Amino acid sequence: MMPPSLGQLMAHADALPSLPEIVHHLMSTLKDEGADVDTLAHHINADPAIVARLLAAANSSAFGVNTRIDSARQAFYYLGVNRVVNIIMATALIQRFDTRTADFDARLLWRHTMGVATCARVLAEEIDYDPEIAFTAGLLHDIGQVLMFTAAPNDYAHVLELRQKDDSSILSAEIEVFGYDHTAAGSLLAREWKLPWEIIEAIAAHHDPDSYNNTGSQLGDLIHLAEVLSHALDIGEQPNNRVPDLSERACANLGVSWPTFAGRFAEIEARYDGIRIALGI
Amino acid sequence: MKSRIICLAPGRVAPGMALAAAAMDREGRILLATGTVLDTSMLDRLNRRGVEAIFVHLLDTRNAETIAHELQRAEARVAHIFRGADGPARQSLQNAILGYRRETTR
Repeated sequence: MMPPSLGQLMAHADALPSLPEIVHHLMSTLKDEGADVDTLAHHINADPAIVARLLAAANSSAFGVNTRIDSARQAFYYLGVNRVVNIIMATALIQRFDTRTADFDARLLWRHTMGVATCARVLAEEIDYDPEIAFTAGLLHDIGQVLMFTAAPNDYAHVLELRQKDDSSILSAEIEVFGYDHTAAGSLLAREWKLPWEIIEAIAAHHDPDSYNNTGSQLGDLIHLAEVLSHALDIGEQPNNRVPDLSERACANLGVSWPTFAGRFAEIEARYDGIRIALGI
Repeated sequence: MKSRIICLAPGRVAPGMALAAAAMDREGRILLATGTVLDTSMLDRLNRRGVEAIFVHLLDTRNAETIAHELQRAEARVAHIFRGADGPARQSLQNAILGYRRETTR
């Protein structure tokens, strides 16, 4: 059987578990400086599964808070809005797309995803871009891989085999098998989910930002740098890890100098470690 | 006994460790000064202020041979993951990573 076309893949997206309502709500509050904690807690409490996962992460050793956290509102108080929002988004994604087979272990993908999200946040802090948007785009940047695997597990297993055998990039293996790659699939899914356009563009651009430099958003360049940096820091330590090509233009556009930014590498590793433990991945 | 400086997530820091750099909140305000020996209430406070990474001193019990071996392994790994394509920006990143690995391994 042929792998699904991009159109067929999107038809399959209807069958995917959608993002929980609260994630959409949190995304809409990302740019709202004065987001009200009571309103956010109220929305979160509407989904008991989310509350349960939030409290499990908030009480994990990674946060080391002496006081036991028993409610969403307390979590906001002790951990701060940003960290609560990040925990909820990450746990929601991991839970909705918990795929583990002999060929595809979503946990490895989530480790990479958290690594990219952490790099994106720190890069954003460095260049004065909104760290929350950067973190969210990092969380979602490889969502196309999950969609392709869910729709056609055997074909995607073949992609992973090819990449291993030829030591090629995931993109070229995907194109060989499917005729398109996960950046195209992921950005279409993000459009379907009505995510902010910067995030759609960043998902599309994260491997080849030079082709997507028309709209003026820095997020595509930023997620590209975060993707390359997370491989360079060997986050997730996959044996076949290889640092992808790095756009000269994107580095220049964001004004990132690696010798200077190296001063934050240790912090990135520690922050990633904290998130990984908190989420149990 | 020698000590070295490492950066840890707050959940990994044990009471009794000394800060190797001031602990700051996200706005860059100093919460605790360099040299402070951390106790549980200080760690709790850093957590509540959203501090995600802390530089502390750690006793270094490794001998010279172990350090040389770790250094060699770290350098080989950097060379392995940077195999293939190249370019000035990627080369600059590789040098930065190599410098960082050498510094944190020593």
